[in-house]
Amino acid sequence: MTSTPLLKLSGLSKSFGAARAVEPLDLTVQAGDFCAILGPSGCGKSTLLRMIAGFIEPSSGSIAIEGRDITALGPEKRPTNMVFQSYGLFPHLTVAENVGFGLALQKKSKDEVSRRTDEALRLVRLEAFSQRMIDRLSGGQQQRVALARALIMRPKILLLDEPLAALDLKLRHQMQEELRRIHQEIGGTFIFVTHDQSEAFALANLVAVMNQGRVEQIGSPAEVYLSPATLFVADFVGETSLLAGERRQGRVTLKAGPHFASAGRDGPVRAIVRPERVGLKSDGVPAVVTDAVFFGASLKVSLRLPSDETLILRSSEADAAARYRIGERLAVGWEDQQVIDAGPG
Amino acid sequence: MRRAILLLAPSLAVLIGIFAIPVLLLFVVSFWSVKSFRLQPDFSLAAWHRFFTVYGDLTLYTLAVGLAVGLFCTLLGFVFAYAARFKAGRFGDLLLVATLITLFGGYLVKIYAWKSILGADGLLNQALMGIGLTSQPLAFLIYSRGAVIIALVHFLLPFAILPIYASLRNVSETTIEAARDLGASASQVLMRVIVPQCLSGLFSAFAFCFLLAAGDYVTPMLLGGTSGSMLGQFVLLEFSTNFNWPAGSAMSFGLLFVCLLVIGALAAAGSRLMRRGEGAAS
Repeated sequence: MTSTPLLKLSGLSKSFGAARAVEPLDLTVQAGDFCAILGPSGCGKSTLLRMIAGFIEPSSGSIAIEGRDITALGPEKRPTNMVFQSYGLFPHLTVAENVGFGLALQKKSKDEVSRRTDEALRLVRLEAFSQRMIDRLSGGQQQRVALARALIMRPKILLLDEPLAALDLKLRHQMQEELRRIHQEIGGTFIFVTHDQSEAFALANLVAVMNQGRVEQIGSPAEVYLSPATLFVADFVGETSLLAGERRQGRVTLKAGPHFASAGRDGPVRAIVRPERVGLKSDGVPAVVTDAVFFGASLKVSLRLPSDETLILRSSEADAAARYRIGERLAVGWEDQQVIDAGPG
Repeated sequence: MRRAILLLAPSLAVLIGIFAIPVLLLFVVSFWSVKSFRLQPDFSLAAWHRFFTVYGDLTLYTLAVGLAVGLFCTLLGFVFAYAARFKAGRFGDLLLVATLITLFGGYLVKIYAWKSILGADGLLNQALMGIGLTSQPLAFLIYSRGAVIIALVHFLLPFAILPIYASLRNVSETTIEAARDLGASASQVLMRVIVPQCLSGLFSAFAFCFLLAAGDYVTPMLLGGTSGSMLGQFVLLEFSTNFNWPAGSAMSFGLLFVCLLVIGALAAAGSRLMRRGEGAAS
């Protein structure tokens, strides 16, 4: 393989009038990657995806696929295909005609179109529905048609815009499995946009977290989860607790009480504490249980600390429900907090 | 079910009482005969024979004018509605309101406006002579088929724009983006995605304009002269001046049947286009 990345975004940005939707950003995606662009709504992630697809002209920067600059090309000339959030299926065509639409435009022979349509429908397990009209399909089936219609083009990059947002929970998990299976089966490169961190972690091997038009962190799911680069990432990814504190000469003192060694600049900091790292500790911080939610495999407990901050605890022990009753006073501690510099205030 | 009948009853009564029965009676009259200006019940095919022999050519010509007007209106209406839907942004609805307002302008006013534009001392001829393109007024501008078609297209255009715009509203932008994403050029998007999704609107637009144009008799009377006359004028003539009700009736129904035939053929072709591929569904 060459060292040229499949997709390279350099200094890409977009402004709508005076409003910056996407700040200049760099992103590199290798062939075979399953990349998630993760962020809250309005963070610019859809704008970024639509720039890659060619529907939005960037204000600055460039997009290159396999080293070739495609910034100036329209969506019909790019080796990318998109699965739209609202699917955008053609209501006047059958399932098979929808899927074969792109190939028919290329004037491929009837045989090839129908062979590859069958293939694509088999991939998404819709062989039996090829002659149906679109309005007679369920939401999940329409989603698969949209997927097949894009995949049949054998795109260098498949773009998915909140692909599972319109589906109910069970169907969403099912489609996540399907997407993983299809990604492995065809070995393509997928980039998808989502606001759901669990979806991003379930599918992607590369996660780019966006906030207010900026990419805050790019990394593997584990990197993003375990060592968030910014406060926003820490807060957005996972159900971590952020505890305020102050660093003086290599030592951090939290408002809640604990202090520990931590090298870095003097000033206000936040300690990031993972819920699964919190437990009872006889000489720990006093805390009151304010809430306990049973999740089947684990119990999620909210604790109020002396500093009036909330600390989340997750326990999968069998007697957890009996131990963490609402109103109970306990002493808790944790290991492995991560410290991030916080701005004043 | 009973409720449905109850709800339908008033409108059905009106429709049957003041439309279906009179129309049927009029159809029966086409087989009657006239003796010394008095209608007499009869079974005579004389009126129908007269329609085919005397007015055959004029019927075909009337049909041609109707088709031309229907076609122009549908085409222009589509262009306008397309621009209003996809290019005008938030001004789209405003353009539609403007279209509706032109309907208040009235029918005769528009015809007389065209008279003053196309007439011998009208705007167009004055302008042409003013810039020296012709030395004499062009006589063929008014009192011709062209003048009739222009005035009818102008008057009927809103009737084409409205149904087409309504059906274009239902075309989602995402289907257009999806088609482009799959490699469709602008013309392929138009022909394979937009037009097929608004066929019903195009059909209603054409049917409206075609039927209204083919049945019109005021426009040809005022702008058609001798070369631009249409069947409707002669239906009027038979009913009034000639007092030949059977002939007028046969001509009305003759034109009606031919028009329905055209619309029916078009609808059949359209629905075959729509259902294509759905046959094997169940």
